Amino acid sequence: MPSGAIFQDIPVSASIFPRTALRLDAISKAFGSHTVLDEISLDVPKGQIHGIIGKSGAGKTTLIRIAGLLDKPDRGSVFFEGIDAPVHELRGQELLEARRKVGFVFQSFNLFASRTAGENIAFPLEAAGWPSAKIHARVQELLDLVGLADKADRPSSRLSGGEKQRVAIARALANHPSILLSDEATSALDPETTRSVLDLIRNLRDMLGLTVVMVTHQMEVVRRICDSVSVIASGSIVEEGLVSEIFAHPRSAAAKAFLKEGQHE
Amino acid sequence: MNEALSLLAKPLGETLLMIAASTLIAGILGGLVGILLFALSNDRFAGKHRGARFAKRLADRAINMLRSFPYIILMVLVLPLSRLIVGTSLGTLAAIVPLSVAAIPFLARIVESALSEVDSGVIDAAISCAASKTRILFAILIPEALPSLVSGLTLTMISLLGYSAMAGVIGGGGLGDLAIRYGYQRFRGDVMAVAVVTIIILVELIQFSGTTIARSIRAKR
Repeated sequence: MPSGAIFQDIPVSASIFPRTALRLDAISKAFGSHTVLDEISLDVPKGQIHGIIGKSGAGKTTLIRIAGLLDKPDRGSVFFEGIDAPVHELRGQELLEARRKVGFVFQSFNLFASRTAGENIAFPLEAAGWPSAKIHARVQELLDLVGLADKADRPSSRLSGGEKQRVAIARALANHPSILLSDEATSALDPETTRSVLDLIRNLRDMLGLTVVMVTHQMEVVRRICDSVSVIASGSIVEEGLVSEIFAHPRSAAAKAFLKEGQHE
Repeated sequence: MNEALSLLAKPLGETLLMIAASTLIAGILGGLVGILLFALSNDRFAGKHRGARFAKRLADRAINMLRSFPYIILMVLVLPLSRLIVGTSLGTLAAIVPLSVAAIPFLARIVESALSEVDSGVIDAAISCAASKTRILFAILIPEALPSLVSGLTLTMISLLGYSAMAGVIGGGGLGDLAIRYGYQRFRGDVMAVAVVTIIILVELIQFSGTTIARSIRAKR
């Protein structure tokens, strides 16, 4: 039984867990009669890169979309460090402020085709009401950060897959979020580009002190950059712990299956 | 032939005025209605509210009804409205009213479908950038849909050119009226030919401009 369900009337804020950057508390979600997430709870410590691995259909994309305030849970709560209220219940300006604390990267990049690389990165800053001179400087800073300093004026469709994802990462980090969420960010990339994007994410974590949650179906991703991992199967977390421990002593059938698969890669 | 050409100037001006004015009016009003239809039906905007779904159903019925009227009937039905807006139910200005009324629902559907075609992942990305709905609509969705919107506007103008040929019925003049009254009723084959060829050239010009603009927007991406 998750703790949040017992003390339902007491607000459980991330701030009483000082080391927690993102807290999911007994999240449930169903589409029609199909239960996708069944009371999932997860605490991600500050500065950690946490993997969520599972087969397609296991519910991991739904989970991270809820954590990223793109979807609402049917039951349960989402907390971000520094905000006392459950963030999924916020509305209006408060919801926009909460969204600025979290960046989201997608499998299909989802860049704005009508904008150049630099203009894509500028969008969250425009939305936050930055003056244009400051936007320009911040965009250049972000392009430097992801290694695309000379690509500001490139239309986004004329970037390679790896470059697109780098722009998407820069866009996600524009408003100085403390949390970065990635939904299969490297699944559409070739192995070499995957490694370089993963290394970029790790370096950004080290430099900016980010907390990162990576949803993936690739063991490679977990092995390369994650500190801890949750194995998710049919809407529940079946195993959880440090990556080193799970690699050495997998307990669940799902974790064993992923490790076996990983050996063939 | 020279006389046929000299007869052309006034009706050509009338046709151009009717098309330009009704495109402008329908562009603004139809565009707004189209944005509204999109927002009412899209889950990311108002689509999840029960009231919005009800409003959308009502708007769909109204638009389908307007679009199913044969234009010649619509023109007559709208006469009182023309009198109310331009003060008369006859003439070129009066003809702009039914043209706009016909083009608004047409263009609204085009705008609605162009906006709906934008990848939902792009909307997710814009939402995660912490932008307001209004900003997402105007700074992302409309620019993303711009090539389709330009193509749709081109289609609307060509339809309007076709409809404007019937403006003669309410004294609106125009190229269609020239073709019927001089060309057909007075057996002036040369006037008929000049009028029809002018209409063909206009269609080609509108289509060419629309295609070129849409293509140049796509080429910059």
